[in-house]
Amino acid sequence: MYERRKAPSPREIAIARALQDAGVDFAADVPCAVVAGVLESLVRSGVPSVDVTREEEGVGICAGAALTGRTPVLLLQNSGLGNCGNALASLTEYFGLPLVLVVGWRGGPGESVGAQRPMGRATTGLLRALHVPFVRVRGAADASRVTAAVGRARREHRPVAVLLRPEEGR
Amino acid sequence: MKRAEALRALADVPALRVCNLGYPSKELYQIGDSPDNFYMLGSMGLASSIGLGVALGQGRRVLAIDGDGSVLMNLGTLATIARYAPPHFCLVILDNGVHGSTGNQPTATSFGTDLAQVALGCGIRRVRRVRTVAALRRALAERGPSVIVAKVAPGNALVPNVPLRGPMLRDRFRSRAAAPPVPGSRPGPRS
Repeated sequence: MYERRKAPSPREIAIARALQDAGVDFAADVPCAVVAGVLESLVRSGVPSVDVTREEEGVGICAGAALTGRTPVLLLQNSGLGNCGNALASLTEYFGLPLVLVVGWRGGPGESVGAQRPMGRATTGLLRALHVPFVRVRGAADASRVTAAVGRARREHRPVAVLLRPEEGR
Repeated sequence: MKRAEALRALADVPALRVCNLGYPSKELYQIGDSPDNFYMLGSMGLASSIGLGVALGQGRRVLAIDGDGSVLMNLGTLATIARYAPPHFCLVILDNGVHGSTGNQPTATSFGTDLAQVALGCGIRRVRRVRTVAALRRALAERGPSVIVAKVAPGNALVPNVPLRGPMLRDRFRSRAAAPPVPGSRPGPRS
């Protein structure tokens, strides 16, 4: 894990708690400031985690963990969703493995980095094209959506995504 | 050595095996199919990552059987393996210098890229290079080489596709790889 300047937000804490309560017991991550507090909270409560070099590698490690009966979460930024399309399709979906993606969704209104905007616009369409259902979590009060998403991943043996806008939930 | 000879040596090891897609999986299926084997069928480049995830999730020995072309697609995996280094995990790279399942297009290892050196440079401490079946069997009998680079000749056996579908492969592999949780312990990294 890397140093963080601020403590996890109420939204990040609520998401981490909901993930664990719903059965998530393994984490992999590519650092993203929007979801860093979720990882920090998971690690603090003892969930084993793996920092990976690229998102597709994380999908592979999570698939391996799922093959041992675990329910994994992969934390990433939406810019990295484009790095893992084939793995989500030909590994996670094809073999029917549970996976929860917790995605920092950059590139929306108020985005200061212009290069984030094209992937920001493409994010939900990309998830739809890959048949990955998604929910949006604006604040801590939306944590029940996370519980439902994890339940769906476990029940239907599939990837699901939880999207977090950086400008919300602070 | 031929790749099929290397696969036979790997099939003889009591371990969970995650096998690269294409001909390696087809050959391993013919040589020694087992519920301990997971054939990838897709997601090229991820055999090492899937194998690492299996090793971090449970305690049985895991052999990830990969190729030079596939490892070159996911070189970051070597840094991650070095960092987490579960002692019961071994990545076996069957290096034939070509993309053998797509028409023998040469890979960078045919032009000087040395995957054993790359593994060492990533921080993996125990790296073995082998050129014969006997040397491969010796390396597999050692305690915990993390990476074995086995030079094999290009060429594929005449074998059909793996006739198993995804969920069936998942279920039978999971029946061998699912470790019952031990009360009060959390196996895996950072535990």
